[in-house]
Amino acid sequence: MTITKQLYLPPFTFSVTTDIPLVAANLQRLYAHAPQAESLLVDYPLRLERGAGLRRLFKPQARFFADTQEPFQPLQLQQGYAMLEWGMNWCIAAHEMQYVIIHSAVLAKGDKAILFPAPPGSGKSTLTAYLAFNGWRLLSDEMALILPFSNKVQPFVRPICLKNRSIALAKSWFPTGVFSSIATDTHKGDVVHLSPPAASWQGALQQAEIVAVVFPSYQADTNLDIYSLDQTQAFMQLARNAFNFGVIGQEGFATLTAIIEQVPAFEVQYNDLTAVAAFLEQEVLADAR
Amino acid sequence: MALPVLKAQTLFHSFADGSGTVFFDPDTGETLALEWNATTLQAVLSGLCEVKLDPQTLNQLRAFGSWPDSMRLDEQHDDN
Repeated sequence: MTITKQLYLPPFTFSVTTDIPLVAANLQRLYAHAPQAESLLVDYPLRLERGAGLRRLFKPQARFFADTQEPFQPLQLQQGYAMLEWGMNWCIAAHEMQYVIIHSAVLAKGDKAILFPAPPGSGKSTLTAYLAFNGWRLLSDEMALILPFSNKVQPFVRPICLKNRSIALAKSWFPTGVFSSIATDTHKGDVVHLSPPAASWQGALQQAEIVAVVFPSYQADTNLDIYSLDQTQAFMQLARNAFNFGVIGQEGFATLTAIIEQVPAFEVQYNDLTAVAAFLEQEVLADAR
Repeated sequence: MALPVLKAQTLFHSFADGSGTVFFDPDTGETLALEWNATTLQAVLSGLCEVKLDPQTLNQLRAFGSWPDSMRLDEQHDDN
């Protein structure tokens, strides 16, 4: 059976059509609290389909289509839901040039947001999940959508992508959390998506002001070390995590330099999430008020 | 001779904390950071002869952006 689900994920609307029951079931569960669509206009019509031919009998595959494009090679069928989430990321990173897009988590208290730009393996998503389920509002786990020539960030609320050892940790921390099925042996290892708390979904239309940039780096042997970055270091690290900086040119450069001029930047090495949360609340947010 | 290229081809910004200047080539998306504060940047851009670029900085600038093969960046010192 083929189903179509419309997802209003401000500021974008997706429609997902799939004949893969696992994908349909995960979509229904993880996006149960997403905002209701305000319009029938769809920005990205997506399809997740079972591969055709003999292969579907002995080694079934999932194929991702964005409108008429098929940007990725097929993956194992059990990886189909993860493929959909990554495909949605690709749609935005490849097409939405009206924002300065940073590979970064974004979390806020009220309308004060902190960017957490980081490469894979830095523990960004584990930290994101911890904060989102401990009083912070998730704006994004994966990409910061910054309005050009401003320090405003647009929420793009989606499930949090957890990998490998962080999966078991998150399941023990949040036993009532809504987790996707596990996708094993992906290029990122084992992957699970976690639906954000209802409060984050409810804030999906509420932009926030960037008040700090924190580069997280999980270090197994470090409780908490905090380094204040000078503005040049902070800019270069931020630029390295920018998706479309090189494409949009002057807008991106002016926006990022202005943000770095206005807000403090830190590198945080940690293995203690509670200590990070305390630093963010008592030092970073307190100074921003 | 190189200064017009630097000015025409790149965007740059000196940070208020004096930690450095960043350059951005809009054609390639490349970014370069140098330890130039605003005063040094201004001196370089205005072609003041007392500003000397060390070899490492010269190499970094040469590798950055689309410089014509015929153009030697350190010519600015000879010209000024």
